[in-house]
Amino acid sequence: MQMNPTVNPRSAPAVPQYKLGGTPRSAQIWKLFESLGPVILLFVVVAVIAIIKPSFILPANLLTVGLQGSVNAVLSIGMTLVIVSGGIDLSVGTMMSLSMVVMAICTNNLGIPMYGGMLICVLVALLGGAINGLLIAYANIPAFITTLGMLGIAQGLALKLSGGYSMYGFPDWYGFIGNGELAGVPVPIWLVLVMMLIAYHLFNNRPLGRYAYGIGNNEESVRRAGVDVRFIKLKVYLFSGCMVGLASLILSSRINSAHPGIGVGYELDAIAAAVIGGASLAGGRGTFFGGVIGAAIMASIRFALNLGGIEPFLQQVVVGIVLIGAVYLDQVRLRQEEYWSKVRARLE
Amino acid sequence: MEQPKCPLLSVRDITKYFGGIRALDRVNLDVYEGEVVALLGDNGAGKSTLIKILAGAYQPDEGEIRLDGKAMLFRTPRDAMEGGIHTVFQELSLCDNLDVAANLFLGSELEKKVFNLVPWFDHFRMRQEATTLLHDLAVDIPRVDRRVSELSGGQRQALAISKAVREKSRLLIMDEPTAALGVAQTRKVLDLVHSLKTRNLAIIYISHNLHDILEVSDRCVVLKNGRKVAELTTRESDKEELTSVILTGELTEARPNQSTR
Repeated sequence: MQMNPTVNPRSAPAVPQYKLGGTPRSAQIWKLFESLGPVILLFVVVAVIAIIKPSFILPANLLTVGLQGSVNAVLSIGMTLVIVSGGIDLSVGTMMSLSMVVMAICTNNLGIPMYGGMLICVLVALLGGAINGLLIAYANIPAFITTLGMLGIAQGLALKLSGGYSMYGFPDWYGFIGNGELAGVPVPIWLVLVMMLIAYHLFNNRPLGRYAYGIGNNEESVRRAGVDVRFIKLKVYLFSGCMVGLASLILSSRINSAHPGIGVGYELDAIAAAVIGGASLAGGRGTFFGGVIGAAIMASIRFALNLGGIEPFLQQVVVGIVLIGAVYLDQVRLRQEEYWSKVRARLE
Repeated sequence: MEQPKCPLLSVRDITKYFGGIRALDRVNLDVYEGEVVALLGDNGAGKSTLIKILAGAYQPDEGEIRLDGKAMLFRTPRDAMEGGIHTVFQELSLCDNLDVAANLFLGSELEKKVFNLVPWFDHFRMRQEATTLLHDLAVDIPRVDRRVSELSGGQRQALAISKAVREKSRLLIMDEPTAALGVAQTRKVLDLVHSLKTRNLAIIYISHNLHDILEVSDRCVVLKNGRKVAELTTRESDKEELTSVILTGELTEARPNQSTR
């Protein structure tokens, strides 16, 4: 090892700095980007939109953005945990459709009271998460395949059960969840904040979060530490299912109906939000906070496209581009880190 | 060296077949507390088969393993760990994305109750105890809130060993712990092995580096073609002799005093 410290692979800047206990400047920037990057990106996006359309930064508009991003924000919290554990959940969108359709059938056709319907909605979403988790953790089917299959199953069931039509007839008070306000702030935003508090506890202070990070990085290490890795994975997908349940309550309340096709595409938004927020599809990395900020960025872009009169079909194109761009950025980030860790190893 | 009457680990007549091939042939091995036993042999001599049996990854076809004089049956690595036998694999025991303290406490995190109700990780206490442990073992990792990905190879190896120590192991199996390390880092790992000895841990040390082995071990056990061909007191041996035993499987006649031990 005993390398000469002045040996400088490629043209790395500021290497001698490392001896002082710091990290090379470029690596510091990437590190900062990892923690604060999504927030900075959000400010940039908001600033750019505000320059083009100054009306965008009116508080009312910003609250609308928050409102529109809330469903995606809730989904992205669950999605982040799944991605951190090294998995993926493609079924969140259509599971949302299915949960709200089942809820509507229970309340409208079977005469179950609304509270019961809401409980059933969450239970259906949890069941979906449980099936995903069991298949992935105990039957060793890759997460991509399992949840892709679940995407199709949920979509098909939602269409079959609803007959393909929107279902109306929720009580008036139900609209409060999605459209009401508390202290001038829309209720869904409050719900997102509550979920962020819970996620903070779960991600940083509970075994589930810590082991999910560990599993995403080195599953064998966590297993050797005596952790029931399979059970943790099951719980990760259950958590995602729980978020799906909450998101479908917000969404069905916002449109005051259950629509079997409304969830399609939400999985892309949730994945994009998580990745923009710093989650790495390689696993082991990401924060729920970044996921929520990512959702806010996505909502801002969509709102701006609406403001600019871009039709919804083209918006899909933009979302696709943003998703691919975010994953590309993730790759660049990984390569940067690999590079710097090599530089560091040579210096020691 | 004064050795207690009962060895911590006693391996008797262990035999293991892979198909028709006899990977281990009636191998005997005793390891006492506070002792470093080096396991030597060329590739294919049976070293890894033996340690995998000790770690519970393989089951022997014949023979028995005694721990504190009690016959044990290790069906899984978990069983071996519960018996206090840990194998240190750096790449299989650390999570790069977690910090040093989190890695040390992985699987047995300390918790506290906030408002006597909500369970919460006690980060402060974990970091405190991690710092103390690393300090006690003289492991050179300045900050326990650093991510493992920021550590050097030697620090990782030391951390993996410290983790096994924290998990109350009594016998550590180290497989080529210094293989990828530089001179200074190797020095630190060897120092750590010495300090583990003073903590009364038993260590099985596998390495191809005779230099390390002569420095760190008390006894050398040489395997060849699945058989134990020699057991030497390290202090009374030297590099040439070890090399010759590993290669030929026989003690040289030039130093007959060794074979009578």
